[in-house]
Amino acid sequence: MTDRIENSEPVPEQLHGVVEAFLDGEIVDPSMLRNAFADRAAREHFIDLLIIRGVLNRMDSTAARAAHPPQRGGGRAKWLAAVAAAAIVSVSVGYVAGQRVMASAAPATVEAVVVVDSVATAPKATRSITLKPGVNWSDSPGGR
Amino acid sequence: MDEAAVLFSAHRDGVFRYLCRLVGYRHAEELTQEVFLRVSRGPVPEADDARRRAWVFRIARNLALNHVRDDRRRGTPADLDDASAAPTQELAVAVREALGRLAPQDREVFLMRETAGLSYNDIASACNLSPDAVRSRLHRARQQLRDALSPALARTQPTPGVRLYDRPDRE
Repeated sequence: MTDRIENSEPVPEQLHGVVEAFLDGEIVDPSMLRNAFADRAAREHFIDLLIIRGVLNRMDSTAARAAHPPQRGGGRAKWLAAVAAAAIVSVSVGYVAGQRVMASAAPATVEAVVVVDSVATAPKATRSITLKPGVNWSDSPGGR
Repeated sequence: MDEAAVLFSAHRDGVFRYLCRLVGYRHAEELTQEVFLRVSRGPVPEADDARRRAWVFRIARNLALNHVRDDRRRGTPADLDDASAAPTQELAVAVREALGRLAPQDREVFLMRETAGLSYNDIASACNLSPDAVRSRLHRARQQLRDALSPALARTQPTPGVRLYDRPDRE
């Protein structure tokens, strides 16, 4: 921390204005800045403002964390669930679409039509066999 | 991405930080949403980034002022005792109290500079002031804060890693 100067002469407002402008990233005249930093009270002013800025930054960081707590498992789980849902929907839509495409692309049923325009007749016998029981025919049990 | 969305992603954190200091973090989130709702409703001005940022902060400032005014009418004290402060740190508590004692417009100017990182010209545009008036109010606010915090500052070591200038990625 900077040393305090008790009962020091008042610092010109202009010197404080220069170090404040430098602190804020505004355009400053280098020679005026040199004069300002040559002044001990102006340097203390600068350092104190830097400390206050640091405190405010820490307070703001705390506020940001309070308002937007970091997502740990919850965010990842939600992300995975969303991906899984998207995959299921994609597969389902793909299946249905595939079914529809297959149905429309299937070949038409082929029907064979046979036109019978005359009554078929068996060919004439070329040989005749006569069966006589006990001669060339015997009954056996079991139907054989 | 439309213009309102660009402004939202660029300035959401800065607006939230600014509103936190003015109305407390419990209301700051709600007001931040309201700010960007208005941004999305109204036509975004055709201007450079700095002027657009000033426009966003002017909306935020007006909403904060209305909020504080309504609280006063209802007799509700402004809720600044919030989690955005680090109550275990003496200087943080002192800063919060000292901020509360600043004149309202000095506080607005100071917070726009310190928590949102606006330039003097941006603040002037957002608050309808001249840049010289901004400089003057900023200096007065800082001097009062420094006087009020003098005992605490004397016991504080400089914070390592304090950034002198705001980087663009902070916004």
